[in-house]
Amino acid sequence: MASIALKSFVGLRQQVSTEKPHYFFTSQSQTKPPKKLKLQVLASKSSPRLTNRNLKVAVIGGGPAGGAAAETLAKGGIETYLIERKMDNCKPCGGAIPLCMVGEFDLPLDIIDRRVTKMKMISPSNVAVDIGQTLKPHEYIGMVRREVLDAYLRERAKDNGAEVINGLFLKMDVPKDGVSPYVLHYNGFDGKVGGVGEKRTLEVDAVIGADGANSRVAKAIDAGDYDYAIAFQERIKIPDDKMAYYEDLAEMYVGDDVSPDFYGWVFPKCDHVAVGTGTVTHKGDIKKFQLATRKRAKDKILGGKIIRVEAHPIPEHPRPRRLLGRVALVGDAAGYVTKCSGEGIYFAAKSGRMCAEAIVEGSENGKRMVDERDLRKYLEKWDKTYWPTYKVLDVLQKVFYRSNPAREAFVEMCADEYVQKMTFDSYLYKTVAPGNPLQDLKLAVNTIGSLVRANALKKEMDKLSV
Amino acid sequence: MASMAITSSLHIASSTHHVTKKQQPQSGTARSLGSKQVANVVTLDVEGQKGFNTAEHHVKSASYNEKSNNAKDEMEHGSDTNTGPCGPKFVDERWKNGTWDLNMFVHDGKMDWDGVIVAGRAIMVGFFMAYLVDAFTGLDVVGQTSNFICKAGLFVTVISVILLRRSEDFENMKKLADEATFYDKQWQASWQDQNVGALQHT
Repeated sequence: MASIALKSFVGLRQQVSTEKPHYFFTSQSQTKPPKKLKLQVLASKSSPRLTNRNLKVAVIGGGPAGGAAAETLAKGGIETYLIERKMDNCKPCGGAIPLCMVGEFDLPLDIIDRRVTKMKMISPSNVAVDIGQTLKPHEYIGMVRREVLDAYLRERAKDNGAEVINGLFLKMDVPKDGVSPYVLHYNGFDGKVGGVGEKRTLEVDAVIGADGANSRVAKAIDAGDYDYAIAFQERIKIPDDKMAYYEDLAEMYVGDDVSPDFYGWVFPKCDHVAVGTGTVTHKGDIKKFQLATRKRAKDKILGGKIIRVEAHPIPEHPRPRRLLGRVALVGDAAGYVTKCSGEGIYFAAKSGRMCAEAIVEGSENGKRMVDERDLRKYLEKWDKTYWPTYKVLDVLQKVFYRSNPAREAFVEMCADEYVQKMTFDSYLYKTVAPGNPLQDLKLAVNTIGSLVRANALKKEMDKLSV
Repeated sequence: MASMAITSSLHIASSTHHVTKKQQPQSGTARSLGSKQVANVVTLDVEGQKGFNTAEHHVKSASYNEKSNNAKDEMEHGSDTNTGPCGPKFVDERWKNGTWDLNMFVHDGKMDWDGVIVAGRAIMVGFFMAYLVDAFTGLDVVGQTSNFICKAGLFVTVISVILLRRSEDFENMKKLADEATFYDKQWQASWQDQNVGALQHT
């Protein structure tokens, strides 16, 4: 029904790009087009107006990215469908959110189980450094339960007019032109627990893939693969007196024993702690690393009972292709997890929102069809805004996670107040703060000094132990 | 002429070594970024050698140690020769009249080019340090290389010789640059097929 109305405008579009019949959808590159195509108007203002209906967009995946995207789309007047396979999913996750997320996404404070205001960094030689002394009284890192956060964001999307569908996305049929709909195939569960569900289809004009690290939408658009880390976590219920130690404190353990390229952590959750570690390069040894992490925290979690074991892949970098046609990837599906800290929740939600905003704007609140260029604006804005953050964390990981001496130097550096202030400012507010140049220079010199010293010490230690 | 400048600056620099001492660590550590083996900081210090040589030689790699030790020892005692004010002079059996005597680098009847290059590098490093010292203390070596192009060319040569020890080093440098920019490339991948994608969908 809707497509009939659209077809009347197809003729108009044909006049603008007469070369259209020559192009078919493949994933291989075509020969360079003749110059005529350059005359095509860049803005989507030339896109056909949709008659009798609003733009239909499906968001696949109901996590922070999907929830944020669906809410923004629905608020923008777009007919939104949010497809989530498991409504009560407890996604294995560190669960840390920066302070700015609470404000930016209007999160109610009761979603936050704990406010972490102190962090301990523990070096390979068990030198512990307390960081967080520079935090102001109102600043904290929020610890959330994913099932609580995800459900809240989905509810809010629903309240704004999005239709939440309990279903498992299977595949999608990609249209051959710029106006035909994408046909999504999914298994609808209708709230029934268990069972296979029934096969259904849904026609939409655009798709946002927010379905996480193993994204099927990414596969559908041939987005390519990425390197990923395995994060392994055990939730441990420890006695109350030990839990008091972790009241508002999180720990980070670095060392070759805990992970060759990441860190081990003890994060306090609502009434238990999550002890975990991760690695990219030595996935087979993850259990060994987990044992080492537990050993490092031994006394502090003594007497604890493991109540849950979970693992999940974490992307290390964006997929080669994050956007094709009217399909865009956001969150973990796109690969927006930072290096060094492995943070993903905020970036997932923010990218979902940014992508949805681009669609709302490009379609003029759902009145016009969108095309790839509108969605590219989201990519452009995203890369421009967050590239410095990602790059800085990448450099930090390359410099400080490569060997035990480097990690020793890292922990030593973290004792410095200036470092703590810069770290927390960047983390909590998601801006790469420029800082004081003189202090930066001093920091650079100290970093080099620490690295040199740590390496020298290692040589001396090796000599002694032989 | 350059070698005269170097020797004179070595003399001048050594005579004011109490001033240069605080510059040394900075230039030393700055150069440690280029060199891969910084571990010798501790091992050489044990010898308790004083003077600005220690910072300079600490940054060199292991194979270089014997020569630098040799040079260092000679540096502490020596006699005045043709140029400049008195102070510890650089004395080495292969250093004749302000330049390296290439005949002394012959081993078993063949030219020891590695030795030459190592010695050649010592001069480069010495020059660079003298330049820095001069810039900080105002002694007049900088003025001698007043032509900008010459200065630029000289610096490029000096830095290349320091950084590129062997032809493999060039590959290593390239790999390092690739590794540093790999993440950037991964991020830009989505933009690579922009032209392709945009043409396939209108």
